Amino acid sequence: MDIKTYISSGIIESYALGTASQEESAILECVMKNNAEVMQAVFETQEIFEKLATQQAMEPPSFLKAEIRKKLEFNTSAENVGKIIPLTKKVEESTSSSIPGWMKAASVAVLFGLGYLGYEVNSKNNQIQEIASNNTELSSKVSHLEEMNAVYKNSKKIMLKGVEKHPDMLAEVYWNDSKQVYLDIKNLPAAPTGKQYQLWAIVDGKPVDMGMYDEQNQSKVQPMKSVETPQAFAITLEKAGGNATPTMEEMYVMGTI
Amino acid sequence: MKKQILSPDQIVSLLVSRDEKGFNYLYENYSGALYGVIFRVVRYEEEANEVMQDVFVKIWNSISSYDKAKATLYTWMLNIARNSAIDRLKSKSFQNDLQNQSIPDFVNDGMGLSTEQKHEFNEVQEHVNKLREDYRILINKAYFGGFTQEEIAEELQIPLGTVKTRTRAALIELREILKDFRIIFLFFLLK
Repeated sequence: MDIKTYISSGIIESYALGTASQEESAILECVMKNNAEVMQAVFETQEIFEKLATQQAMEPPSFLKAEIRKKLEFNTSAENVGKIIPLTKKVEESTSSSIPGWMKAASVAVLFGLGYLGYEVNSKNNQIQEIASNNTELSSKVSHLEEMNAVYKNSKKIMLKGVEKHPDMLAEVYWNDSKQVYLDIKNLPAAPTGKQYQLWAIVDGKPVDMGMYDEQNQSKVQPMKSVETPQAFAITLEKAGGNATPTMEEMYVMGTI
Repeated sequence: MKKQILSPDQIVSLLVSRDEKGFNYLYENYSGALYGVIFRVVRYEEEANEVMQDVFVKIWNSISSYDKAKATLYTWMLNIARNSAIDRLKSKSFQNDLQNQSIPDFVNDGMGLSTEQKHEFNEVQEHVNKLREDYRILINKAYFGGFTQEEIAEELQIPLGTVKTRTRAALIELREILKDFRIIFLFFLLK
């Protein structure tokens, strides 16, 4: 059957009207995908009903929208932070008042005074807040430095350099006297959701799991497991929680002792 | 009034990510058209309201199965609306409810409508009404009544082939009618 005949066979009208059988519909949908003329004919016919619907639109009862909304689950977009509740200003016009004029002036002055005081207090509060936050910043810096010091003392530093696939990557491993290992992933990119970096130590030619790097953790230098006789270290990107064996194609950096 | 117009792709994208903005846009721009179709099928406001809710939930939950190679978003939604309404129409419970009441006239009766809705209902049935009677019956029975062509052929006592050719002619004419209306409509907007 040639295309022209098919198009004028009435199947397209049936399809748009909803009277075509499942089989006929499936056939048409298949033909549509492979023939632009048929696709166009179908879309044109469907458009008739779109126009009809638009022009025969009837306003639904006003309560319906809320009812429907209740049944749907929404993901609030990032911009939707809070509900904006408009404040309606009531402008009251006072016709007569029994408050003497001087009182009105005085009260205004007091208000100004209070306002200024309020401003002063506020700015002092802001200053205090600033100092407090500086303080917390400093103390966290200090503890971080203390931490780093403990690690660097008595440790051997091993640079893990990027493999062929990730040439400029760098990580650092500190292998402490007490055999504890610390990892700093330096410039490795943030792991995608659901994935995590895993550290491996090569012992006797075999990879041994040294733990996962926690990107949520504030500390850049994190304690991992301990190892007695590592020959080398490597980092691979695994699924969150890690893998029993390393995924070799996902190796980022590596370094020998 | 400045109205934001979204492309179908943009709307789909909002719906897929279940963004409330998508729902709002959809409701504001399409609820009337969908309600009109639903109402003309079930003809009772209470049922129309229920079906309308089901339809929006269906649209919302099955947007991932929308295939733009088969139809526009609008058509896809219209079909969901029409099919849901026809399912309701043919449902046992609905038929039971109808049994004890006189079945409203197919084309012109706006039973259970507010005065305003009656106005809308009648005013625009005119498009289909403008068709010659034999065409009109076909469109109404098929589109708003959910009858198959075989059923229509049997009821009207005409050959199936005639139903098919007449339907085709009816749609061609309906398209013409809608085209003219659009021009007048646009004229009003531009004045």
